[in-house]
This record gives sequence, structure tokens and C-alpha cells, in this order.
Amino acid sequence: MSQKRIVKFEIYRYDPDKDERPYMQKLEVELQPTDKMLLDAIVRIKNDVDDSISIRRSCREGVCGSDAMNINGKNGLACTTNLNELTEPIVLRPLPGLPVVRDLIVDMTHFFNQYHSIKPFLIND
Amino acid sequence: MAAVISSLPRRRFDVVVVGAGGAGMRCSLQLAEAGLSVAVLSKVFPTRSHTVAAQGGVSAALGNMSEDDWYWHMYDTVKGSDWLGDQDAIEFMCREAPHAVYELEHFGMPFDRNPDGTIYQRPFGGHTANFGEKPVQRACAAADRTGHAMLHTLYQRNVAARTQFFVEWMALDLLRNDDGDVLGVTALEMETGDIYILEGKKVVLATGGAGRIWAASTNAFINTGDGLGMAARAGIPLQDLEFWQFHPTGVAGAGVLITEGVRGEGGILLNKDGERFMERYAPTLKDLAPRDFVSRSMDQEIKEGRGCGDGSYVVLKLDHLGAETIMKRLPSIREIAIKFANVDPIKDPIPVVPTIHYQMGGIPTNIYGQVVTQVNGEPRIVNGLYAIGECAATSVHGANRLGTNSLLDLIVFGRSAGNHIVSEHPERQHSHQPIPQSAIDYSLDRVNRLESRTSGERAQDVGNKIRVAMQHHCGVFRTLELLQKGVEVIESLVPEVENIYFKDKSKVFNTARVEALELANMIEVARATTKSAANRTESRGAHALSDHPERDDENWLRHTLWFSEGSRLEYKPVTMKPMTVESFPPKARTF
Repeated sequence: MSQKRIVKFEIYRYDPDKDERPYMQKLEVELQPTDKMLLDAIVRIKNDVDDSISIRRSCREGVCGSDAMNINGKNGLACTTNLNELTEPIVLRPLPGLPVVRDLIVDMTHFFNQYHSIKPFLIND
Repeated sequence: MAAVISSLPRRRFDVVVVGAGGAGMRCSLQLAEAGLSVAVLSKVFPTRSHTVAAQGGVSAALGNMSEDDWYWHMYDTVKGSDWLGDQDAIEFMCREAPHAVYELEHFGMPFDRNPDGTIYQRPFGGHTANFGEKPVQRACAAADRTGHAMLHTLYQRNVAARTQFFVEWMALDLLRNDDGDVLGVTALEMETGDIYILEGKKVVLATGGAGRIWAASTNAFINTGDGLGMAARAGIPLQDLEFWQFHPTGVAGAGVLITEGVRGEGGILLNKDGERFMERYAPTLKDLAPRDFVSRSMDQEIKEGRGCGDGSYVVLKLDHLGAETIMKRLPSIREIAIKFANVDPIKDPIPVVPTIHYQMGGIPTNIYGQVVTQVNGEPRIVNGLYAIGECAATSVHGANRLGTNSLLDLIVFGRSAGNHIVSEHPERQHSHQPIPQSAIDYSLDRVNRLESRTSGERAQDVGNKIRVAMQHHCGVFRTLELLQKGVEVIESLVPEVENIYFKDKSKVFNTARVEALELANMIEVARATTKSAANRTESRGAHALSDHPERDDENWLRHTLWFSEGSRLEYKPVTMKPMTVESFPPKARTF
């Protein structure tokens, strides 16, 4: 792990505050030996390359589900996706089928409205 | 900015709850079901709160596996706390525990079951029968996803009760009047970047811990101590922040948590010689001694050259439990080990190191969750403000928390605070009190300074400096010299935090803005931790000084109170008198 590890990315970008339309941003990041998962690489990008990329993330261990995104065409969690399993360039897009709030953040309102509509609670009267 | 200030949108509620983890949602449920209007703010969707990551169980002396008694649970908790826990609050929690757990069961929480249909309970660290005689199975478990099951159940009940959630909102500051009463909060709607005033006749802080001030932590990114920062800036003290729990089994390198439930199910810790070293340190409880004890033992093994691999970790062996038990009781642990440690625990042991996990200290409260400050040496309730869960110091955990007592803390005190607010509500039917403009200006000025800065320090860089400093100066074993240096380093970072700048000024879901605001909270917790620790010249619970290895009850059987202004320390007595039973006087802590 002593040699430099430079990884190529293509990331979906869209900020309604300033972008007329979405675009794909190409970038490279030098990873550290401790960067193992895709989320580690995204945090590294935000730290060293471009901190304006917006994502959701929290538990970083696959329990909370915040960092769901489309990774090389497949939906998954960035925090439990090992970088070794991904071919370059790593293409990141927001989850498909949902309106984009910004970058990799989608509007989940409709999703949760549907969840609420099924009365997701024990009715035990 | 006057025009902007006067146009700040306002929303009014009976109660504003900040945080939608287990404590916040247990409280909001009690309030919503009583018919109060409740706003619950959360930086993340409620079911993504960090309670979701709790694994092993929630304690209650149900006695489903063998005889158990809430009084034994109380004894274990007092002893686990190294006598720094308040015995009235501990009695209250342990007595309420069975009821609180049955309530969750009736809410629909999917606990594991025994063949006779009762809730399955597993052994956990420091939980014993008959005052330390032998381990007892007290941890009520839903596989190794107990927090996940609890959080989803509570969210579902809140949906049924029509609690109003403000999802992806970050609270910024407490709004107090000249009498010190808390009247609401300022808050940022992350999606739009707009700032609101949320008025509440009561405000409940349920923001969790600040484990992210360390470099290696089991905690989620969101755990930045926001409620503690808000309290500290508003002149409210933070209690016992020198006490931080290192969980014995974080995955080496990754920091991801491996539940103590693994050892509860029979997993054991081994050094490089394959020796089950905990037998030497804790002959009775062995691997199930309390966490501070096990973490120190592991650190000792590593320091004395008996670490595995490159010498920096020990291993957690569980293959002898058999594939069936692992798949049934610990399925997520297996997944975590495969993903983050490249080992399948059905065959190979997991490399683990003690990793920062839990903040025992927090905002001082009584058993109703009411925040209690100290004025001229006398306790004084802060009207309108409550704190519950990890952000609070009630104090049931004292100097060291027992595993599974955190989930219990959430539901017992979330419920208790909710009931107290409901009981007081009729007397406070009057309208919301006016909020002084100066309180609003303070918060807005803070945000405006951050927004308008065109150069300065990067939040990531300053955050990394805090994390590196905390890791270096406040480890498993500490020395006074190291801690005093830590105070200097952290204080030297205060001007940097006040000079944070971010390039991207977009209003829409700007995570750089959120991280900059979080840093202002993290620095308060780091200041409180280093300062409180550097002043406590004894070893107690998780605060272990190599140069003062003994507990000193004569001088230090007392709680620390840290005030942000001037980084000032005061102290207050530990409540040794329980509510109804005999007190447990301090004694030597062996296992």
C-alpha cells in the first residue's frame, strides 16, 4: 500500500442555485491506505478536491441507509461498497426515479409518503 | 441586517424536541399522544439517527432466563459507574426498566423470543446476579440490531400519533430571556438554507453524543454534540465530560462497532499467544467485565507486547459458537466483519481495539429530564429546558456506562421527560413568552459571520486538528501532563474555529455549511472534555490516569460542571441516597 493510489471518478453534479442543468464532473483523487470503502473515497474527495459535492451520510457501517446512491449503474450504499470491487472511472449518480435536490441527494418525500400510507405500525387494539 | 432579522419566519409549538433518536422519539410520542403540538427536528431522517446502530440489547431485570431483580441491576449500575452515578436516578431507571421494555414490546418491537414466548435475554458486561456473584442474562435483544428495531418501532408509533417531524433541520442556538427561561431555538432548514425561529413552551434536547471529536470512533458522522454546544453557548454547564467510554471491540482500523453481545454469546478476547487474557484481569466476569475495565486490560496487553499482527490489536474469537448461533444471533456482526475486517468470524477471529463509543457526561438534569444548572453553589432548574439520552447527564452512567443501559436510558428518561412536560402543561396554557431580539441576533450574527467570511480556515482542517488532539491527549490511559497539553492545544484551536470559512455559498443542501456549524459545537465539547479531565487528579471509571491510578473518594466523589465562559469549573455532590432503598456505599471495584 505504499505506492500512490489515484482513482478516477465521474460524479453527477447539480445545484439548482447555480446550475442550469446537471452535468458529470470528472475528477481524480489520491487515496490514503486507510481509504477502503467508497464512502472513504468520497470523504477524501470532499476533503482534498472539492468540498461542494453534497451527499447524505451518517453511520458509515451500512445500518442507517443515508448514503444510498447509484454506483457504476447499480444502486448501493457507499459505506459498504469496497473500492476494490469497482472499475474506473467510478461513476456516481443519484438514486434513479426520484427528484434530485442537489448532486447525489434525492428528494425522498414521495418514498416516505408511500411508506406512511401503509400505516406502518402495529395495530393491536 | 435588521430587515432580515425581523422577517425571520416563526413557527409555534407546545414543545420543540431537538433530535429524533430513541430518546427524542420516546419523548415526542408521550407528548403527541397527550395531544400536545410537537415539533421534532432532526439533521437526518428519524430512522437514520444513531440509535439505529445500537446492537446488543436493552437491559431490564425481567428474569426470563434465570432469577433477576431490579435491585441487582441497580447495584451493577452503581458499581459500573464507579460510584459517580446518582443513586436516585439509577434506582428510578432500573425500577422502571421492565415496564419500559414491555411497553416497547406492546408497541410492536420485534424482540427475539425464547421457546416459551418470552423475550430472549443475553449476558452483557457488568450485569450480574446477587450483587456480583455471577453473570446474569439481562439484555433484551432483537438479534444484533436492537437499536434498529427500537428506532423503527418508535418512528412508527410517532407516525401513528401524528408527531410533526422537521427532517433535515439543524438546531443552531437556544433562545433564552433575561430570566434565563428557554423559549425556543433557531434552526436551519438544510434543503433551502433558510433559518427559522421555532418557539416552544418547552424545548427538549435529545441530540446524542459528540463521539466524532475523536479520530477513531464507533459513532456516526452526525454525532457532533450539537445540543451540548447549544447549551454551552447559552451559559449552561456541561457535566462530567472527562468520562468517555472506549468500547473494547471496535474493528481495528475501521472503528466500526462489534457488539459486546458477541462476548455475551460466548465470544472471547485473545492475545498473540492465544491466551484468554481477561481471565487474569477479571477472574469472575472475565470477558464480560465492564467496558472501562476490559479496554484497559486490552491496552495493557498491547502495550506489553502481546498484541496480534503488527502488535496493535487483539482478536475476538467466536468461531466456537458455531455457524448456526452466529447466523441467528449475530448476523450483522458477521457482515461487518466480512466487509470491514476481511474475516468471516465463523472461521477466523476479528481484529479489535478499544474505540471511543459513548459520552457518559452531558447536560445536567434531574430524573424528569429538567436541566439543572448551578448558581452560587446551589442547584437551579432552567425553566423550559429538558435534556434526555446521551446528550444528558442524569446521571445514571457516572464514570462508566454498562452495556445496554444506554438504550434503557433513552426510553426511561424520554418517557419521564414527556410525562413531566404533560403534567406541567395545564399550568402553562398561556401564550408563548416574547423572545428578546438580542437572543435572536446572537444566533444570526454567528451564522452571518460564517456566511460572509471570504477567507480563513477550512472546517475539515480544523476538525482534523481537534480529532487528532483528542485522540492523542485523551486516550484509554491518560497522564496529567498529556491532558494539560491537550487543554492548550484545544484552546489554541478556538480562534481557528471562529475563523472558519467555506467557499461554496449555495443555499441548497450545503453540507459544507452544516459541517462548519457542527464544528462550533464540537469545539465546546472538546474544551469541556480536556479541561474537566486535566483537573481530576484521580482514576475513576473511564478516566484512568497513569500518574494517579487510585480512586480518591475523599476529594473526587463529586460531579464536574464546566462552563464555557472562561472555561470555568465548578463541582457538585454525587447523590448517594436512592429514592426508596438502601444506598450502596463506595467499595473497591473488582470483577
